[in-house]
Amino acid sequence: MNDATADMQVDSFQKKFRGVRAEMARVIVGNEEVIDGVLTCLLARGHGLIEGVPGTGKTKLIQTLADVLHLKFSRIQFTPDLMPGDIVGGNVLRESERGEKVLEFQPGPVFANLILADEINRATPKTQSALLETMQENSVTIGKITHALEQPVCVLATQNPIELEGTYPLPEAQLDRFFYKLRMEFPGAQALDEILDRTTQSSEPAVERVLGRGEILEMRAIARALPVANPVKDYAIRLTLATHPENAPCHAMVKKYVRYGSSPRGAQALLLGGKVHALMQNRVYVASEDIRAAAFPALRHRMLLNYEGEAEQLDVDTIISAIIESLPEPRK
Amino acid sequence: MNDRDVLIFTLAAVARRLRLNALLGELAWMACAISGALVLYQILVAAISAPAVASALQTLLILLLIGVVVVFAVRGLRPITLDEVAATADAQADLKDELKSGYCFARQAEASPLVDLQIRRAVLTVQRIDSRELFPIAIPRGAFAALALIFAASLLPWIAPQFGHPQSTSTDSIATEVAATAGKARQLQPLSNPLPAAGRVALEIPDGTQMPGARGSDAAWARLEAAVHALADGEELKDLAEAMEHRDTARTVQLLEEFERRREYARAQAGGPPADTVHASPDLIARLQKLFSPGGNVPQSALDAVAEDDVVHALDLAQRLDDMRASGANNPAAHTLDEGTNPLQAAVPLERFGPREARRSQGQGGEFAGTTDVEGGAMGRRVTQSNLGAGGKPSANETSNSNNIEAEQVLGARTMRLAVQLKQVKIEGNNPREGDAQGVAEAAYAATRAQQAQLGYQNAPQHAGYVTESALSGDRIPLAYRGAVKEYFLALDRNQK
Repeated sequence: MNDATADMQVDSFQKKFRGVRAEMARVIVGNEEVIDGVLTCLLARGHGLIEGVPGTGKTKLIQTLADVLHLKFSRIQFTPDLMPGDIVGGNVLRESERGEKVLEFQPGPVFANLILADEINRATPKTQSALLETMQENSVTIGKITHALEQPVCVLATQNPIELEGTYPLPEAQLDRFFYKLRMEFPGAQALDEILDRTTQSSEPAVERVLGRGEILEMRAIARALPVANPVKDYAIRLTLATHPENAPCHAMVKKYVRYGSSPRGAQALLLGGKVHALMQNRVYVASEDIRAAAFPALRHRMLLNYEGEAEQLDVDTIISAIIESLPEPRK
Repeated sequence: MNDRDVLIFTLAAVARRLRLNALLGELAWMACAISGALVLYQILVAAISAPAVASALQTLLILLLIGVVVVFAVRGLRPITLDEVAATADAQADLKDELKSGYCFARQAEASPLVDLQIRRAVLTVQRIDSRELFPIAIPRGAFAALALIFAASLLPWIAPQFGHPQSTSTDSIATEVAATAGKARQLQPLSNPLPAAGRVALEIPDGTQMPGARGSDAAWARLEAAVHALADGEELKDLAEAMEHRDTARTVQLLEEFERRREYARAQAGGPPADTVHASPDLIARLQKLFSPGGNVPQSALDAVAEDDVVHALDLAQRLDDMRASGANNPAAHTLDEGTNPLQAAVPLERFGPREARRSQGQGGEFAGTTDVEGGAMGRRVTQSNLGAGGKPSANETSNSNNIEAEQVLGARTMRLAVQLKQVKIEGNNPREGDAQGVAEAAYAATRAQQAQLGYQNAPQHAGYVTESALSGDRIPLAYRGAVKEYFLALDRNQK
């Protein structure tokens, strides 16, 4: 591959990305950041957690994405009585053609490319944990056999931040496995008007499948190959370390309100998210601006507030903003 | 030449331009610092007339200038790396780290199609940029400040005679205050008797013209100071001498007035005849006239503001004290003054300082019992004896208060010792026996309800403090929240560690 080919690939990446975004925008009104975030998760080999009040279109967004992509899609409605076996599948006893009883593996809904884990916090932690291996290793182990999942694998989960009764907050280990945590904002008046126009008429807008599995894998490869200069990488590292209260030069707000800072997965998410963001901006290098753009969805669920922060109902985004403002940009 | 070399070469050209700009900026700030130091030096030399200080300032200035030159030379000659050039160009042209990333990749040996593509794009960008437009060689902002300071530094010596008297304004104020004091002194009745030859202190007033480097106002102060120093061989004038040494005009005038009042009071106590006119020493007046003559170093403005007789009166205030000491053999107040006790106490009648001193002055025949708090009176109440004598008659001290009007004029209104003035109240159920005068006094004078309420009010903050402390230290955390609170404080502890 030479320069010209690389240039063409980058152009192709942008064209495809814009195509998916435009197609999704036919159904989803507004929330461009969330659409970009979901696509970033898909292209950076990550998983997304979408949080929003009921009725803001979380599930609709993921269903639309599944419609736009030529991928195997499955939906799991998380309920309190859902069991791990209902997600990953299990061995069932079956009679063979010769009349023998054999155990046969029946794959669960995680054996798909795009998995919608709807209302994930309604299931018990035991059931939630069934997704851990799927999300990290893209595989499922049942008994002694590990079943690899077909690439790409992307778990997109939704949760409701207000109806907390009867729910099970995601454990830190589970949260950390989500590449981005995205927030669906309530639509404004104009967006609400557009939503009503689109959804209360005889026919709802339909989308076309514009991207296949192979193209997605190709886009993933391009995003991974994007070079990052050392100063920018150093900026991402400093940003991650600045979220830790035990780190000496951290911001006063971090010292006061944060119990645990971001894990190394946060730094990975910053860099990979920055790469996809850079490609979206028609750049073949990652700038510190891309790292800053990725900082909020990549770090907000990886920083745990302490008692004081929880008591003051502090938004983690406020702390991230303060960190970004206090952190000097890379000069060398 | 490949893309990497082109990028580095172009950045080096931009670096030369940046270095020139940086050098100009450093030169401007260096000029600023040097001229600023010169201006400051001139101001300080003008303000502080002592030659020793001026010499020290000169040495300090030289050291400062050497330091400034070294610092700015180091800063100006510091090489600018191409990393910094790329970062500066990115920031200046809003290139979002393009050159910085490109230069970083250009230095690295690794090659990939995307890296090469990035370098090529960076080269195109840097060639598109007009470095002369992006980094114009402009006159640094510090240059204007430096010019202004150089102008000020060169102008100051020309205006030095006027600028050299930074205290001219304060000289006027000194003159005004001295004149006002002298006016007040004239309103007071002066001594009738002239200065006794034996008790008068020989005033050795140094000639201001003999003081090297002394300015007019300083010379005036020095002369006045010398006059008072000559008088102030006792402890009581130490404050005055000190105030004059610090050029504290207000304090000086205040002390002079205070001494004058004390002297007047002491004279009244001694029952001396009324004074008629001021009899300042003729040789003193002659010397002062000589000192404040237009030919001296005293500025004309000060001479205009301070009339000769005003200065003579101001000095006379001090000299009267000397007279008082010289003629104070029969004056008990003056004796007290000489003994170094509190001069105010000496001038005030003894009963003004409380009942203990009053009793001492009254001896055995005094009917006055003073005001004495007695804890644990009848029925556990706080019993206080009033300042009335037995039988409700006013004490002898009260009758003598009429003699103290003059002292009150000196000291102002008396300070009340107690916020609560106790009233005469008869306590029910505790009737004293007939004829027992002391029993009546003890039983009848107790705290009223208002007084008790006031005492309770005064105790309320103390009680509130105790309640607050006990509430804070008490275990009132709900059971369900104890874990969270404990974890919170443990987290705080961990953070502190």
